[in-house]
Amino acid sequence: MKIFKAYSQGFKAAGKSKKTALVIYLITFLFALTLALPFRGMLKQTAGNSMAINSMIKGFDFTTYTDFLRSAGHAIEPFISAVIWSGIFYLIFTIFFAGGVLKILNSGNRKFSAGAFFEGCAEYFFRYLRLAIYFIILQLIFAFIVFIPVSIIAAAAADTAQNEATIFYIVLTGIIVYLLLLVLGFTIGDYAKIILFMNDSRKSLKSVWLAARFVIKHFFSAYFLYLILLIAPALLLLIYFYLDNAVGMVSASTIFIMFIIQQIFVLARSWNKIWFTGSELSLYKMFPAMEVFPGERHAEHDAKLNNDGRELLQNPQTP
Amino acid sequence: MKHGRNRVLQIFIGAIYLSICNPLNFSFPQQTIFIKPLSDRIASYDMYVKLNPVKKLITGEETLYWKNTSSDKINELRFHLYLNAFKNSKSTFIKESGGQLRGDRLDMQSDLNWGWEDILSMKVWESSERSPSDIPSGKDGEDLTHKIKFIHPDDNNKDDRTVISVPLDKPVLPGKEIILNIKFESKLPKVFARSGFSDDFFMAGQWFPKIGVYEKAGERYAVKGQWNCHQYHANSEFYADFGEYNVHITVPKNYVVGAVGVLQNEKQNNDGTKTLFFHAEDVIDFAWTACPEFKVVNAVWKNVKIRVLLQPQHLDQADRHINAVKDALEYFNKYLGKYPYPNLTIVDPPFRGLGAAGMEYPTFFTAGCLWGIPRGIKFTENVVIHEFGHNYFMGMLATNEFEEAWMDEGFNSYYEARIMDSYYGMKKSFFDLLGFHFGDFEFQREGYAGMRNPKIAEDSRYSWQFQDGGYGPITYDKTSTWMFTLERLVGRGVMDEIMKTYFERWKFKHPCGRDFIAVVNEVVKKRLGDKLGDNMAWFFNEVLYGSDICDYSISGIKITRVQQPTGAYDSAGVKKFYKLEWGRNGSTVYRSKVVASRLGGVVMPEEILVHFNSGKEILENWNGKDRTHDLIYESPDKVIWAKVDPYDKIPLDVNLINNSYTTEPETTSITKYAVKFIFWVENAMQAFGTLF
Repeated sequence: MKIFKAYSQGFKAAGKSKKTALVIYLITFLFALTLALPFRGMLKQTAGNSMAINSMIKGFDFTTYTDFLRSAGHAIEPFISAVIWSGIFYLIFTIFFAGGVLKILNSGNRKFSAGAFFEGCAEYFFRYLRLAIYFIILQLIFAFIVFIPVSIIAAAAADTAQNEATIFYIVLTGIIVYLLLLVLGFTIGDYAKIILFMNDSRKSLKSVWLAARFVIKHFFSAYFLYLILLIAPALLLLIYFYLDNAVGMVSASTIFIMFIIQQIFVLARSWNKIWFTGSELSLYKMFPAMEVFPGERHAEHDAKLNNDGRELLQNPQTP
Repeated sequence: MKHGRNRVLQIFIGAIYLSICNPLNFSFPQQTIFIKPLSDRIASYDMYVKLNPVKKLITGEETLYWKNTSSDKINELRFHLYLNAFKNSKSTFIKESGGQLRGDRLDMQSDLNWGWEDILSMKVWESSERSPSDIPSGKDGEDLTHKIKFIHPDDNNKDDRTVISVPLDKPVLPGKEIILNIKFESKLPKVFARSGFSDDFFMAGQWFPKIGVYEKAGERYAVKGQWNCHQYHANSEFYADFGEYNVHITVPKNYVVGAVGVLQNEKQNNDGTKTLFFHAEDVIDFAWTACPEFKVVNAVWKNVKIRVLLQPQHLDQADRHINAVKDALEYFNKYLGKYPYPNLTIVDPPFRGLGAAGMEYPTFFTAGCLWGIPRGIKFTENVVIHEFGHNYFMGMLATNEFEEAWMDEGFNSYYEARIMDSYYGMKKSFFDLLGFHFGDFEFQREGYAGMRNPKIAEDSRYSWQFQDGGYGPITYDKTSTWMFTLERLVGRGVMDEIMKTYFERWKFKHPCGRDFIAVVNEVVKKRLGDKLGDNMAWFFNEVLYGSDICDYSISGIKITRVQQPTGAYDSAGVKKFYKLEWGRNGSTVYRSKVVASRLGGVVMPEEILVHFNSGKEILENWNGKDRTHDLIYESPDKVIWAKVDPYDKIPLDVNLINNSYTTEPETTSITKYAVKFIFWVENAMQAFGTLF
């Protein structure tokens, strides 16, 4: 089946892109570290001389936690906005990396080249930035369009329900429907990236439309591949919770062990995202190409691909 | 005792008469619950009521027997008509609550949703002429109906119709009894606060014309005899005299009914209805519920029959209700006093009637649970234990909730936390799920200490005078927190003796704050002498009558080397020279200065534990009065850490983080949260990254 073939091809491609994942992870870590160091300083400053904080070493202590928040909440607030801003910057980095990731994935068996990676990043950044803006706006509109009717239906059904069990199931159904529709939006977004890349196009908005056509046309493959790809991060999360519970963070050594586990988890998530892209790229290549951006293909880009001596666009119908 | 037996006889004969003569009403003989009355039974009621489930209307007739136990001639009676709180948007209750309570809101769109209480007629019989034949209705006495006038003793809100005054032509003489026959209609509101209907669920609380309390001179704070009959408020509703209740409730046949007291009999009628007869003794109120959906689960604790009326979807949580109430029964019986009643009814309101949840009445209360709620969230147990506790705090110790809510909700919250923490674990009794946990008392303390302004009001304030949401945190949580503080200052054993003495002395009476404080002073003096002062007035002045916060800290430890004496010193006519001897083993003396501070306004006696690098520890006592208090030690040992209130005796302290100071900070915990923070930030960033 195409889904499983794409799934395994994506896994293999991601396996060859370990360095890409490492680069993305390192940037993620450095970002976090720049916030964590002042955060640690703040903790030391506000509660470092208190012995009460020691009660938090064995686990959660409600009284210490709430008293600390009350006495040091003003010092924590700036970190909350800093995390939000970091997220926004990180999103821009993700947009930046997207072209590099696809370039490396599409390059087949070649060794990781930082030059090629960052070249891809730079080459596609602005068109992906536009795509991201369109995509986020469309996602918001889509989410809104989906959310309102689902909410109205759920609320109307809940209003007539006699007990909370029925209301729970109605709301749960609403949430599941909403999430499944949201996944559809994300799937379209991913293929929009791929279509832009594969066709070296600059028409970001049109790529969303083409991706939607592609996903609808190959709905079973595209949508279920995305759902299957979600299994790995879900499993990863379960493993993390298990380890967190088993190891705990109650001494210097267990804190260190958990630090390593956490960082492996973050690295694995970075790698998983490449796996996602790799699988979707493989799937895209398995289907005949649609008429996409007639006359817009860049001759220079085609020449570069040809000079590499590789059939990078494996679709036989690709002009 | 004599009076009680007469009443039984009168009611028995009267009931037979009624069952023959009155087509609406019929009666059954009731079983006496207490051979010797537990209270003075000032206000007793016989009632015949019928529920119209379509109109949400209760039509009824009550016979009130009210005794004048004062030495005054009483020319006026006062009654509560509390359902009028739901009559319109100008009632004091709606104005105070904004038409919402505990997150539930009154839907004002439908006429059916409003509630009211009308007296159709009120007639009087002379108690001196009383005989069994006087009891049934039909014989005209003095008609008081036209004399009824609405009064507004609390806020002068002329639109509030929750209290009436009824002047009497002929006063009730000292020691005499007046008997009134009152016909009334009570329209239940759509439930959002305490009482009302939701679909076919009915919770009738504060639903009948109920006489106020005439406080005789010397009772509570009364200098002379006076009525104490408050309007219905958003924050409070209980203050009543003890009495006997014989209540006949007629409902459609398919309804399951629960009520205060003991079910005596149930009779099927020919019109598709049934009549249930409940009898209660030595209680201050009567409430009942009816719903066709109820599933009944029965249990027994020692001699107490427990009846749980559950929603069908909550049947799997019956054990949570039963186990919690058994825990509460066991604890209260052991640590406070005997639960004297033979039964107990727990009501589980439906989801759409949760406005009626968590309400207390004698021998009968509403709990509240949700389908599928994990057992690690002990909300149901919490409500069951709390509402059961009200059988003691206002049920038997019949305090005035309007004026001294801390003696009702506050004391009850204190016991709720004791029971929850005792049975379900100190730091997990309320919530224990997914690695997060907290105990009931921790949660209460945070309810107070975490307020935006914990100084918002003194605890002793009248319930309706609290502003800006201050009532709950101050009355429930602050009281519980200072009760725990008192307990830890005097010791658990002495505290239990205080509470047992208070209960035994004041059960089935109307104690006030002054009475409780007198018990505290008496027991503390007896057990601890002058250890905490001549009396405990200082404590209550701070925690009850004052509104300031308690916050002590160790603000720093400063260590310097003590310079050894140097130079020439005369000794027996000889000059002896001393030189600097820094660094020699055993010769260095350190001067350690520990600075303790009082940051809040409240003064508490404090202990300070000082720990030295040699392992030596010194426990210091500080009266806590000065704003700063220095402890200075000169010794070869250095102070490593110091902790004010090292044994957590003062949970009233709103900030426990600053209670200790160490010169050798343990950074493991800080590193732990810094590491976690890195991980959280990474995850947050990756979550943002999934947007593209």
